[in-house]
Amino acid sequence: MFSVPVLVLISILVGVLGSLTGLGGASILVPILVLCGIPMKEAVASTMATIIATSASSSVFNLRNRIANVRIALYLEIFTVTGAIIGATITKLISPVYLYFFFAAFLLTSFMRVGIFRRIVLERLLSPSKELDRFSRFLNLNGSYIDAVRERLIEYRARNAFWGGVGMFVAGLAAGMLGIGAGAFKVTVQENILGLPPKVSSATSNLIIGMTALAATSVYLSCGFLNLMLMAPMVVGTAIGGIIGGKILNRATDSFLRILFFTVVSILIVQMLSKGIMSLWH
Amino acid sequence: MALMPCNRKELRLETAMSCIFGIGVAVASVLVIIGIVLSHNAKTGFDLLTGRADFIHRSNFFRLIGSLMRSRNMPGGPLLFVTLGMVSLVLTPLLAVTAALVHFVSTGNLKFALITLAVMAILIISLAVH
Repeated sequence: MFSVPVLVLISILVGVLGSLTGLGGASILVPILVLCGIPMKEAVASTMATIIATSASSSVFNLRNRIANVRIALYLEIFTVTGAIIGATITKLISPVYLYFFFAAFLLTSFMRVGIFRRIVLERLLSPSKELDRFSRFLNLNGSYIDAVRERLIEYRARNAFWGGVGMFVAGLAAGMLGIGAGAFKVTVQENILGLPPKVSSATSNLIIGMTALAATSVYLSCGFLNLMLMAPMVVGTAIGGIIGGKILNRATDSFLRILFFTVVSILIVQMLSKGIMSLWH
Repeated sequence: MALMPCNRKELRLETAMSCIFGIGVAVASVLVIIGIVLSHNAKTGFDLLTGRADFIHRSNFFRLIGSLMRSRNMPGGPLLFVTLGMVSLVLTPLLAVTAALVHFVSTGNLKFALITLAVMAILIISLAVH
């Protein structure tokens, strides 16, 4: 039986994973709900509220520890929120079958961070500048935090602010469309285009996804896709999981976070592709 | 302390936003938990696949709040608590952005006050229009 206590427990685990990886939790929850027989559009809409819960609960510690950067988050938010509203409107209009494939394709973009893909996509095709451009200097998106593992103060300064904004618009579009935080994509953009440290990328992504989800939730509210009895246990579970994840993030090593991230994303891609292919068959 | 991140003013903003997120999530979670417990006692919708699905549908978020305040056409009992929990959850990031706006205006950081104002305007328009 797919009961409320089972969903609460799953959501706690998902909240911890979502907080540690910067995925935000919904990328993991949507495939699980679909696997359990919940219709795709209903799953997408209902996980939006859980994204806000994971984002808010993990941000409690990330902000207190100064790992999340508020100024960078607010600048990037302009692009993600606009993208999310457009994305959620697209979901209202298209067939759910396409959403499985969009979901898997979007998760694939996470591999932009891996060796050969990183060299081809980011370093050759996009070739983000390593220099501080005028727009980034104008915005002055800098910050610092104390890394608990390395026991030293890490200082950083974001570059390529314009292209970072464009990347975040795409992330917002996917977030609104697929009911996810698009944390994987956001982390990739922040690490590789803006040049932020992994922990800052993960924590700032967690802060951003809550506000992006808020905008998309409003679209699903007007469509009547929000199932309260489905959302309720997930909100509680992911909030608890987000707090646990936020507490242990600064103690985890960067390599552990990367391995965890790619393991989770690989499993989700396989699951969504198989679901999409099966839907086409029937 | 030897290791100390720079800018004490921003430290205040981060602490304030951290508190808003903490309180918002706590209030939302308590309301939702009350809703779940009441729902369990009423024996409705405990199996998510075979149980009754309860959807909320309003033309926009502010109309939903209006309905809640007037208690007109709103679900009673467990669903009212869950709906209130969802509303407080949605309001949490909005309050955090408001705190950031107040901070940037009060510290005279016009550049980020305008950026924050733009974010807030988009969020409010999206909640009001849809």
